[in-house]
Amino acid sequence: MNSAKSSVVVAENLTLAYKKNEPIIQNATLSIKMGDFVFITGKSGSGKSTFLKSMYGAIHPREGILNVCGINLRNVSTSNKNFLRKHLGVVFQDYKLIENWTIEKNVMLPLLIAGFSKDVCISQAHKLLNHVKLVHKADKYPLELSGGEQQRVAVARALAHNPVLILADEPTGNLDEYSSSVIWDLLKGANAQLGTTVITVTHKIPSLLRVNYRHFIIEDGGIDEVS
Amino acid sequence: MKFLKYHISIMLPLFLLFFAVESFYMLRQIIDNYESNINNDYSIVIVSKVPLDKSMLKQKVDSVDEVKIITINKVINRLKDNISANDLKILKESLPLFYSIKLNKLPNSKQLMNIKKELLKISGVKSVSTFQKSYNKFYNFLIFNKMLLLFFAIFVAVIVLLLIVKQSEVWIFEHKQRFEIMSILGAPFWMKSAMLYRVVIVDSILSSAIVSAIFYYFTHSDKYLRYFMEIGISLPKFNILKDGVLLFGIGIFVSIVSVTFAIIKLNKE
Repeated sequence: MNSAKSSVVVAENLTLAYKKNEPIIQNATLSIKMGDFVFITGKSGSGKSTFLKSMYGAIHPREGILNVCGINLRNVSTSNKNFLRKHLGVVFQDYKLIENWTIEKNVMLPLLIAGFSKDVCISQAHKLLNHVKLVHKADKYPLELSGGEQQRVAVARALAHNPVLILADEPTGNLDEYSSSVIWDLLKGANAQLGTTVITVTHKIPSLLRVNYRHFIIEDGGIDEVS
Repeated sequence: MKFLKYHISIMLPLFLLFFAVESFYMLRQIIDNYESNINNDYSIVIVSKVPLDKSMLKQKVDSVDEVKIITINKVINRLKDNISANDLKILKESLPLFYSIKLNKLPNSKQLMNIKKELLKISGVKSVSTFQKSYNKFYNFLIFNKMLLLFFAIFVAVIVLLLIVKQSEVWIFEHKQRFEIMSILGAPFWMKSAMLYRVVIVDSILSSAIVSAIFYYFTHSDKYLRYFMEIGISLPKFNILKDGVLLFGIGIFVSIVSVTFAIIKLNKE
């Protein structure tokens, strides 16, 4: 994959909109480099999640350029989009785990998609579940776990295939303080130990997070970096 | 339990479909048998002054299948003792020839009247008996049965259509979340769909095997065969190779069509 001189995400004059003439993000320009830990904040409805969705190709840019991991998402083909998504880890506020699959199988999913053998998938899933301290619940189903545990599974799934970039949409929005700190530690660990770029959309940056991060604010359709 | 429930939800509509299709198929065979029995029992009688043969009759009526002369020797022999040999000879010479003809398909009343008209046009033919009154009675009963069968076929088609739509909606509902998550993770189309196709193929095999076993038992059991025989119906036997494969084929076709329909809809959402 072409990482375009260590830039993982490049947006130039980017405009995003669900309807024509109703832009949510307008003329945004930014660059996120490999290994960055990024927070994107903004008011409700400001377009934080829309911007995050655009980075995994769920919404296509109306105007401008959006380059993620070297793939231009303006007129991206389905196969290129799938290729990009295979190199991303995505974490959602509502976890998005497959309810009728065990958590082990949920964690295995990105590896199965990447085409690894079942043995490799199982071994890697166990390693990750061990890392998030849930290996003893490998055979449980998502709804048998607490919210915090489900989000740990979601993070384990996001890390399973060693992605270039993790996109997290309000990953601790539904969690208590303890569970939130566990999730931040996991994301911080991936960033520090594996060099994974982490982009998190959140309404509030955790105060006790000891990490060098970049902070972007979305306001009135623009994306500005806070120095 | 969850696994069982999931499979039963797919197999149940397939059971209904198979029962409807097989019942329709058997009913059609019963009516076909009935039609062929009527045809075998039915014949037209022709009285003619000149000898007739099949090719001569076929020129006038294409549906003529068999022509048999009705011998009158039995009647003549009965008169042997009462009249002289000379009178008997005169009687034999003056009596017309009687023919019984069978048709290769059952005509309706109008066609039967036309057949009679055509046969009467043959020179030498003095009269034609079609026994129209009793024939009409059987024929109308047959038409009534065929109409019932047609209604049943339409009913089956509507049920099948509803099942397809309903089952697709269930699949869309059940697999929407999995499809969405797999799409976000970049799974190719075949991978997202493979599970559904695998499930419906396995369930089609299981359902068709169970329904085939039920019909096989039902149509090979002496108890049921005797019962139907008593009411004048010859129950067609279920043939595992022919009927079982047909059921399996229908099941696979219907399942794959409905799964594909559901997947296309899921992919759009």
